[in-house]
Amino acid sequence: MLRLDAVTKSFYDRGRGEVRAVDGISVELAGGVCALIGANGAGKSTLLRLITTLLMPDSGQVLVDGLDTRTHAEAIRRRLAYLSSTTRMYQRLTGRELLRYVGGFFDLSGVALDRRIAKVSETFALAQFLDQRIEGLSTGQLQRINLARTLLPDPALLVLDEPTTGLDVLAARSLVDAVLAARRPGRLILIATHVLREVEVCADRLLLLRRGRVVFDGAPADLGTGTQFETAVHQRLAEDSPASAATQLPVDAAPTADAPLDTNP
Amino acid sequence: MNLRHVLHVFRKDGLEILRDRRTLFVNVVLPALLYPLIGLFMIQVIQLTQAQQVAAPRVALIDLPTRLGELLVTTDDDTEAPANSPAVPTTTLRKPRVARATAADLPHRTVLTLRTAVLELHALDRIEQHDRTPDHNQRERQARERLLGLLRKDDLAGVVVGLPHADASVPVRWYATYDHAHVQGDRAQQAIENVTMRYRRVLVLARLGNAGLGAGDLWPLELVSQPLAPAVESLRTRLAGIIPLILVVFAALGAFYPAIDLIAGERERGTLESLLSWPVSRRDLFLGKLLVTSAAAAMSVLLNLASLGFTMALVVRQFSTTEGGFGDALSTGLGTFALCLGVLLPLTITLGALSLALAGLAASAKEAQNYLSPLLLVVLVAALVAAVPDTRPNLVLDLIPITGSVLALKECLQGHDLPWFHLLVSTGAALAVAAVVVSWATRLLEDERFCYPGLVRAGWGRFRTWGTGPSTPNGLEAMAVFGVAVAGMTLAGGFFTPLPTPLRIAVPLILFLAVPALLHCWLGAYRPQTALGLTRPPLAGVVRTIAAIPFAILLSLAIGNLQPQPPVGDPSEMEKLLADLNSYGVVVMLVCLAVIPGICEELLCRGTLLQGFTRGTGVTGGVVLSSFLFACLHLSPYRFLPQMVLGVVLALLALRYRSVIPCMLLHAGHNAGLLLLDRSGGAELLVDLPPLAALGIGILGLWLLIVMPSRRERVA
Repeated sequence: MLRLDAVTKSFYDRGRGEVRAVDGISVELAGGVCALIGANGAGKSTLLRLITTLLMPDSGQVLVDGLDTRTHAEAIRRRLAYLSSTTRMYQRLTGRELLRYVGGFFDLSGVALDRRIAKVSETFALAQFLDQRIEGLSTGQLQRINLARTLLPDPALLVLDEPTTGLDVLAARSLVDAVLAARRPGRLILIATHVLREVEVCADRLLLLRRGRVVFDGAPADLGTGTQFETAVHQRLAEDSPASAATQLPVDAAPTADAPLDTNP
Repeated sequence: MNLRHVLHVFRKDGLEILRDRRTLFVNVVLPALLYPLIGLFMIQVIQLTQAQQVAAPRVALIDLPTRLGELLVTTDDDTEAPANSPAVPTTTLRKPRVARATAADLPHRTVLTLRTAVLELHALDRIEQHDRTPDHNQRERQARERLLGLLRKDDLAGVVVGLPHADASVPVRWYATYDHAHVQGDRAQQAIENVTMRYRRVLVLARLGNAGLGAGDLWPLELVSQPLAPAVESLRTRLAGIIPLILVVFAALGAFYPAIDLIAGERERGTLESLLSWPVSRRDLFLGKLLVTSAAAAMSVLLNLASLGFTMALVVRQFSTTEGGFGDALSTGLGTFALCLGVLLPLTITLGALSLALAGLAASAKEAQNYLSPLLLVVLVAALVAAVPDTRPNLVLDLIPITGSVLALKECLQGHDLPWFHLLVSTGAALAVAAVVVSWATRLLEDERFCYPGLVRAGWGRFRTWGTGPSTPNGLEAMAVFGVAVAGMTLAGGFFTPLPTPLRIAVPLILFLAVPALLHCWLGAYRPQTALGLTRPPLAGVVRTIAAIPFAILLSLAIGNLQPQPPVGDPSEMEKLLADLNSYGVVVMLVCLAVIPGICEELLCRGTLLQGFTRGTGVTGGVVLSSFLFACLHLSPYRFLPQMVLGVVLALLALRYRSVIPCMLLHAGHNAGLLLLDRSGGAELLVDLPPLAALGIGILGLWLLIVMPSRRERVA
């Protein structure tokens, strides 16, 4: 499904010069839920944007279903859906109009599109506000609409970049439930998060990223459960990083100075 | 291009724009209401002004005949001309223009003071310049100030003093002075001049009568004019220079708000990232948005036109004294309306593409407004050409977007025949620019920094400190190299004047065209093969190129014959150079005017410019822009069009063989052929061939040899 071959992506920071946000990552993912964890600036968002073709690698290859992101960007985008915490929606459209708009790009139209809209509407309980303008919806309703439009085309690859950021406990919980419900054979769900509970609950595979490199690749259970899991993750992310180790920063700490970009790569 | 995706984007963005109150207000409400409201307001103001009893200006009449005072209080209408006098043009005002303000109304002392002051001022003014004393100006200024003080003290707009003369054969002289700072100063002057003219006429008729002559003896010819065209048509012709300018500005403004909202707004509202992650090509995305922007601009033009036409018809109906009602005015306006719309629609596409692309460079709506303001200035300047009196369309101006369309529209409005050819060329030029902009914008949208403007570009060339650079230069670099070349040729070209003619031609070409291109390639750490196209072409390509030379020559000659010819006069700089070079022999001439330009101009134009613009704006943009700059490089409006067409041919050749060497061959062969034909008088043989036939043969030959693939290529 997804293969990364020695993928590298650098950015330039005016204070620190060249920063390798993704440094030679090679990994192959088939299906299930894969969580990406790392401190701010570890390269999670950059990696996801490389996969979604929003960024192109400096070197190496990103292959989705054997297609290279450099040469088959549009075909790859047809296979995936992307949702990030910074994603906003068209305020002047209604929820239904938004879903129709998104569906149109995925060759959904007519009865097939209506059927898909009815299905996601039922899944995320959108019926009450689906025909209201998005500008009048609450944060929770917005996030449900957002999830619905992400799952509308029934993508094989679902890329979620910190989707629970800014949500209250209940909304975050329902989102995790939605992710779990979206699991199906042949679908890969990539989720970057700072919340370790989410990972424990829903991830089949865990990639720990530090300074653009994968420092752990395995099942979350390999690192233990509960507090043991959290401690193991903290330790692995803090290795070779005296400052981080000394202050015992949690992984979901506020943005730090080592973020290479103001665009939160 | 996926038309379904384009229309999909168009539908959604159109819906959003229709729900955007700001855009609706600017594009729909404002044009629909603004002009009728302004028109109604003006009508009301004028009617109110007419109804008002305006106090007549007070003018002191000193030592003037009492008959003059009588003429002043009569209206212009009720003045009866003598029955045997020819018609004298009269105004249509219904009220007295000035009331009497004779010396009798003023105290005797004031009259005396005024008379002295007026005569003193005129006496000072009559002194010749060379007779004036050093304190003359000061005395004159004091006299003026004194007289002004006297006039203002009694609220007088002017004063006229008569100096009677005993001898009737000497003209009586009246001295008039007006306070033009007085609110009725101008009116007073006009009234006095009218009255004086009438009084003079009365005197002349009386004297003619005394001599037994009639008015026809003095005025044997009478011209009676009658306006024929409906008032709205006359108004249209008079405004032919201004209307296109106004409409183009409407179109630009109509495109601005949607462009800002659809691109910069998308980024600002945070929807851009998800939009770019959907399976739609950047070109389709841009084209969909372009459709919305152009439609909004067209709607704005349409409403502005309708509103303006309606208002004009309303105003004409209100004030016109000629025949023809509101319906006539409106139906005349409808023809103009359709014409303007037809000419302006392609322009809305160009303006929409430019606005969208520029707004795409901005990180926010506010920043986009900053980028679009200079565009409005450019549009204004390009459209202002139409307002210059006596500017007519020609092939060179047709190629300048906006200017060509505006001139064609002006021509239509002035009642000339519809200039189909100019309309076609100018519309083609406008659409070609739109195509270039679409190519450029597509590249812009494909750039990572479009989605993430915070990303810092990799360093440049040999000065790069991080990242890997591109393999070919971009359009901006190409423009910079072109700027250096033009600056060098125009500013430093004069330094080589003392050199012998062959060096005077060759050295600037090498120094300012070839060297900047090569230096740029070295500094940018580009490979000459990719940045300049310095690769070995296939043998078949060389053969085809050589075979294409006669057709290129034929094409240049045909275009030269079709376009306006330069005025016959002193020999041009080029003709003088040719005459000088003749003395060095044909080989030197061919080297200087064919081989060296062929190499140097190709390195710059098909090397740096074409490669740079192709990377920045796509193949269409690369071909059009490099050819346009190639034509500009020759600094002659009469050589512009042939050079532009030759540039397109050379660009296609360079793209086909991925090498600049065939272009050098064709360019040098083309120049050499023209020179040899000119020397031998062979070009005159082609005069008998109809230019359009020559053009057709030239294009067909070049198409077959350069554009159409060979059988081997088709098989491959």
